[in-house]
Amino acid sequence: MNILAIETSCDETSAAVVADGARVLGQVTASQMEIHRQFGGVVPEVASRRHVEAITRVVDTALGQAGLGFSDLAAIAVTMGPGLLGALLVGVAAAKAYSLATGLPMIGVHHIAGHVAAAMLEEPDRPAVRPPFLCLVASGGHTELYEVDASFRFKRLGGTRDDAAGEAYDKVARLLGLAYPGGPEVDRLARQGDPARFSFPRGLLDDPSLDFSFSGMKTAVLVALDKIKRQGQDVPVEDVCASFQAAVIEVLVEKTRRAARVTGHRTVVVAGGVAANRGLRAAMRAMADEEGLQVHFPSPGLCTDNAAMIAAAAYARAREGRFDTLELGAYADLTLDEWQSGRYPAE
Amino acid sequence: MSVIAMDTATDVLALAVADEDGRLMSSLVEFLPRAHSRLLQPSLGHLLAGARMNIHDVKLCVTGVGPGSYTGVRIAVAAAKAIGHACGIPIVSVPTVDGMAMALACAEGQRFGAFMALIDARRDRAFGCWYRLEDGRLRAQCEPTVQALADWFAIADRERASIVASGRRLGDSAEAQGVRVRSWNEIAPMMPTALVRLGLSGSYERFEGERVHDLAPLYVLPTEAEAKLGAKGEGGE
Ligand SMILES: [Zn+2]
Repeated sequence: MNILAIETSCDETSAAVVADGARVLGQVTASQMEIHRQFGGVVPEVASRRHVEAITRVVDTALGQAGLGFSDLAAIAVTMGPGLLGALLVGVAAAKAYSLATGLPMIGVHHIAGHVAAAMLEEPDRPAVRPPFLCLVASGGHTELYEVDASFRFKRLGGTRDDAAGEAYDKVARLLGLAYPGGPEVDRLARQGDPARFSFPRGLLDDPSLDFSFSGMKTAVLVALDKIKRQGQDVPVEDVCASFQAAVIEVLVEKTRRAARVTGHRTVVVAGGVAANRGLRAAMRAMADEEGLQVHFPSPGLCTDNAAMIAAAAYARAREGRFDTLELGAYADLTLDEWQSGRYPAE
Repeated sequence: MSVIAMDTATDVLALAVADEDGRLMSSLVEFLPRAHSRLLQPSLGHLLAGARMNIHDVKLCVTGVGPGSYTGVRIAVAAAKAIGHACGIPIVSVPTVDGMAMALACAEGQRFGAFMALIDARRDRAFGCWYRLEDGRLRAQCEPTVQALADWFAIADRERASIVASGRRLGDSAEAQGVRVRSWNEIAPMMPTALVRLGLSGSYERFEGERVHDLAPLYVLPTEAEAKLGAKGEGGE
């Protein structure tokens, strides 16, 4: 079953064709990274303009890579939320028009379900994971722990009460004057620094819940930087990165360990942009060895926003024959529960 | 053969299915601001069914390309590109203000005269254009642009142009200045006819084959972020 998917929730215009929810036959992502780098962040109106320029070309190229035409497809999937509304609307408008023009059924996909489904794609050096599993999603917009059952339904175990982990990385990168996007830069510099130089707070680490809090860490970094500057010293950027990263990773790893113990899951998936972080990968692997768990990370290219992951998530729905109508909307805010139940919010 | 036409750049969603001579077979005009995204594709499906047409009978897609509401205009353009791509048919791009002016001429039953279409751009300014209609052919007399309402009204007065205006505030300002304008909501029922006529007139750019992918909306202004960046560059920073 071949599914064509479109993803435009933020600043990547992506289209992919995926067979049976696992094999990527073609994928094209028109990145706007260079454009938004000039602005130090994603500018929604700029992103939306680029999406509408690129939208059909990425679809055409993805189909070309797959060597398929519209008549070889079984469904059209699209990210329906959460994300930037103007950006989502471009993908949804195109996907619904493709559906009308081809008669293929539509599947609206939750962006985070897509990130999780990235682990279900086959890759050369990594087997495709099948649910059930425990999942940590860590990105610029999300930090959450979920149980995913055999039919790819999500149960939320906990999540951040303030900033997302990726957001904290970006804010700290900005405090340090690092180039956008800051997360990978902090990860790179952290490898050359001393993680014990500063002791940043581990938000909610001792709290019995599976929730996270990262805003305190960011504030602690700000306070530390102010102190260093007041004393007229140079900022040890690498040490700040290493110490900050150590704090974030410890919390992510320990809460995941706790979730595995509580739920009894032996398979753990780490997904989202922060899952590309090398420090996090190493620490998660070490924890998994201690606990006797299997931990899976999609390759870094599939951790960032892409359409293949949306096709993989749509496959579970297509198999159950659950499709959306041409009235499908786009939602800046959409919970996984709303998506799973099909009770989409009022606009 | 049939033609479809759509525009989502204003508060009005306008859709048409017509035959090759431009005669409407079914059409729809909705005043549901912010519902264009939800309604465009299912409504088009209903219109085709109502005209006993299949999407594969469609040989040409006409789309309004704005300027107008930023988010709104992209809905029709993205949809038109996808239909053009999947069905392998050409797309004709019509500026939304041209459609508005033609709709006004149709509503007034005119084949000659001067017409102006304005869209509220806030702070007593409007985006718009003015036209001469010569034996049913619409000819723009300026580049579509943003300028002060007073300047638009001065042109309309000089040229004795009929005006159609989108935006309640714009209508109120016109009334306060003693200028007669027709409200867009009242004229919009003629938009499907206007889009089809203009689309078949041969006066507009046609996007065909690979070029379907190049179609993009018209915007009045660069984004604020891009404008700032441009100003910085020129300042030599
Ligand atoms: Zn994402």
